[in-house]
Amino acid sequence: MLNIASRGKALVIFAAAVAVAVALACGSDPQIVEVERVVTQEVIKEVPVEKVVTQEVIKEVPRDVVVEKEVIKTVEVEKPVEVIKEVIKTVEVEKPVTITETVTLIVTPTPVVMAAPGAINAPQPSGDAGVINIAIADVAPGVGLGSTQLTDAMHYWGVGEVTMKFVSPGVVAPMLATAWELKINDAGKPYGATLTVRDDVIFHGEGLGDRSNNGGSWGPMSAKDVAFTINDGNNAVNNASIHWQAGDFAAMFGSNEAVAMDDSTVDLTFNVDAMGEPLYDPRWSANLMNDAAQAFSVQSLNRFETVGKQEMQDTNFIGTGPLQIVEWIQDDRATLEAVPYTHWNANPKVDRIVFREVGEQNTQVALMETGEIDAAPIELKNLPRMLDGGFQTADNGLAGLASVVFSGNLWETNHVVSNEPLDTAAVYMRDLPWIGDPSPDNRGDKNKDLTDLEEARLVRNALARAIDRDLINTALLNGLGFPNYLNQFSSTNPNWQDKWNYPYDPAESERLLDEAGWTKNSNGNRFDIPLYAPNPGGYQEIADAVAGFWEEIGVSTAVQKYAYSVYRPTIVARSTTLPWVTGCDDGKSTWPWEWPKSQDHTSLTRGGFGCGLEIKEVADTWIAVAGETDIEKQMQMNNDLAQYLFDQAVSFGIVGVPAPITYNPNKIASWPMDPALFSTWNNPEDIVPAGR
Amino acid sequence: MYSFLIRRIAFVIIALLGATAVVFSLSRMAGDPVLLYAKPSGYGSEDYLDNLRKKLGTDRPLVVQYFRWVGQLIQGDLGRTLLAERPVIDVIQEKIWNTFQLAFAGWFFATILGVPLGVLSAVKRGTFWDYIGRSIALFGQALPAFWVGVMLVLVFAVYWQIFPAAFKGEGFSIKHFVLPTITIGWGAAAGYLRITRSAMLEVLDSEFVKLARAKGVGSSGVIWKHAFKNALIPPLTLSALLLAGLMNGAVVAEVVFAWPGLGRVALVEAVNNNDFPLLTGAVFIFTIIYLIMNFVADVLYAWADPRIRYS
Repeated sequence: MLNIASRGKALVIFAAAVAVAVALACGSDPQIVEVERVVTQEVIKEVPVEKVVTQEVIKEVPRDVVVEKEVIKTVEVEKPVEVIKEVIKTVEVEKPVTITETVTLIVTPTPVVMAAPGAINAPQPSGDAGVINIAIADVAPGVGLGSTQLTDAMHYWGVGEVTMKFVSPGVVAPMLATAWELKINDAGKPYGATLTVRDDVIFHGEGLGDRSNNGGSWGPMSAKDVAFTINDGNNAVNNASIHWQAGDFAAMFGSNEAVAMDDSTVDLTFNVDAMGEPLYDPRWSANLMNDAAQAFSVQSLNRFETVGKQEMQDTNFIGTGPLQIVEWIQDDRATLEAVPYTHWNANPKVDRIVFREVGEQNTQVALMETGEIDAAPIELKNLPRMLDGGFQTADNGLAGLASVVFSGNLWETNHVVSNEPLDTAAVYMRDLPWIGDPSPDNRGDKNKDLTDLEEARLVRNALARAIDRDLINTALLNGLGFPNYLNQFSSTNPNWQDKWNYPYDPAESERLLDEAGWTKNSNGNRFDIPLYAPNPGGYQEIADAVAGFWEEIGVSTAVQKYAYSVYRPTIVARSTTLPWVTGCDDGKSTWPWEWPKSQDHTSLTRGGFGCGLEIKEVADTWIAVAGETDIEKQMQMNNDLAQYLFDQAVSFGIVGVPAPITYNPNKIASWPMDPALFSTWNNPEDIVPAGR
Repeated sequence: MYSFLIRRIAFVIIALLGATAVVFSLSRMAGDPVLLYAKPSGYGSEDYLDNLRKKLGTDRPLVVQYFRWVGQLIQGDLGRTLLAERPVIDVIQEKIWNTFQLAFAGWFFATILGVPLGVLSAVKRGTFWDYIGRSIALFGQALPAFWVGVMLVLVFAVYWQIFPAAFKGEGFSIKHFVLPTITIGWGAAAGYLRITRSAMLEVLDSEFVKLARAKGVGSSGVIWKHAFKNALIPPLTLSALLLAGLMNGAVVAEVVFAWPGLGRVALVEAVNNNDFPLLTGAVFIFTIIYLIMNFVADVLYAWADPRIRYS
């Protein structure tokens, strides 16, 4: 380093010496003469630069004129279809210069002729017609065992498959299982089930590996694979499991292992309660073991035994679906291709699907507009402009039910099944207007004539009636959503009754708050309330809107937006008192009316995720509905539950938010989806490419 | 020289320990990580949670966990991610090269735009060129990179269709680099411009430059040979740190342009999931890069200014 510095010094000295030498060589009085020369040279040099600029401006004008002429000609023809045909022919010539000119012709006139102002036009596709590019917000991990956080969505992607398929409420169809039968005990209660699985299903190979033997398949699927997958995920059997449904398996089967009786029969035994009675969940075939819901994708026991747990955990998922993984890079892309053999169900019509992670909505729209992406979950606020431009949508009927959930209302004192005392002290350390303390002698914070529970109920009802749901739907969802009033019941369900609609009535809200004792102070403020909006999450703007409405009735609202990973532990630990905007688990518009509702509002989920609510009436109803086999009785009990939840307003709805997939019809002819209970998209294997 | 190196290395180790300890602690302050993975499991799941804690090592005191992590680190093991249980080092290797490419491109763009414009702005002080330069500096620092990125996509990808709207492209695709590079390099160029301009102005007013002019040295000689070299120290110092800063700051461009870099995974996904092994591992790597660049800056500083000695 010192050498470098020395060299630098030497250079400076050398430069100085040269300068002195030059100065001496130039005569005795060089200063005035040289300065004058420099100035003169600079002035002369600047002139041609100005000329060049002038020339560039002149050249641009005729280009603009040419474009305008082309636009006018296209409009006069008034045959947009013919223009599109011309483009296809031009591309076939494979002359890059011609293609560039053609693009100008297509893009410029289309909005003028076809679409409303601001419309985003569906572009002509580029690339292979059999390769579909889809943008999604997150490419989750595609590696691993079910028990090691493999994404639970493998069956939504068409890579994995489940035992049953959801058709409609009360109707479940075969998938990997061809038949199933409940096992009934002497008391007439179901205590287990037997499944018969298909014998013509085979596992994928290793992506692009050896395809000589049916794609290098890991062999046929049997009952052993189904039993292995269930036991691997069930944290009551495999206590290392962090499968997304680890707890659901445990709740349904307890420590009872699934057993393969032979190659085609799986024997299942349900969990029991503290008294030894079977805990039968009527949703078992339509939820946890169903393609439409949060379920499992069957994995190969053969592979597990051959390569070992670690290898299976570190390599791509091997499933049985019509699409297999070529490449899966978490948080980047997932490339899937049609299996190279005859699939037991149906082979995809596409050759390849590439899912790209694009988290930013504006980028998704831009990619759709430029044709780099063929489909994406475009938000409702952007959707009309795209529909105006010719894009189309596909959906599976599912809408999320955005709701306000008043976590911290823990009204159960003992666990509903074990009867163990529940620790709820954390949420009652402070008196909060929206939280009711169930202690019998606890009076209201402001109105001592009321119990604390009743006072808080009035407050929540006031807040529920202060929200203009129609306006939120119009302003934030372009009218494509719908007003909703309860977290676990959709107002679009045929069984919905209008008496459960909270009217938009700020005057009534103010009256209720006055009655509860939360009158306005000199600043016009009644009380302060926080409102948590999870990040990431789709309901942050809705939370902002709700806060605006609450401000109007004198409730100062602070919307808090931060990582859900920070909030979730407080929900699991039952220590939070923050109201939040969420759908919880049951906030899905497609959930059947007769299903047991709102397990996440009860102590049944203690130790795991819940909504931060524990309500004995809800828990009792859940258990009663779960144990009932008569659908009419189930629905009547849930009607009563809806009325109770409406009165309590402890988790009221705001709007239903559909989440369609928008696609370019020039690339995708159709995308039929099956009914869904959780995922907003599925069945990519059924995409029909345009022109095929 | 040796004492200088020893001091710098000691500083690097202390800074590394400090940075990782802070991130390690903060990730735990967000709550028990196990509760993130607790599913709706019903009663009797405490055993399950305890098993999870043992598996993740969170059943031990925080200090023990931290030094255990440091011990593994010395053996080259950054642990496994919580979400996918993949080796952290694999995830980092998969992504960091993409981030470095983008950061380097942004740094290069900022340098070739900011430094010459800074010189021009100083030399042509008070002229049209000066106002142009100062305007670029003003807007470069005032406009958020996120907004710049979205606008670039709108204009150059959607309206004019000159460049792709997102992604890295297959292999090395220059056209995919252009918009994200400008997005992250724009603000950095403005920083360069301002610092170069002010340094140049200071030097141009100095006596030795007047002497050079008086001696009849040509205009370009005065500017580049005498003035610029002496004005180089601040932008040179900034340069090394800027590259390290862009490695961290590339996350904005990575989100807007769906760039498969480490920032998006480690600073967005890992934070959202409280994936503390990945978060801590990524911070460790970023800290090393920053400290290395800081060291390089020190050396360059000494090289550019002979008055500075390592002692």
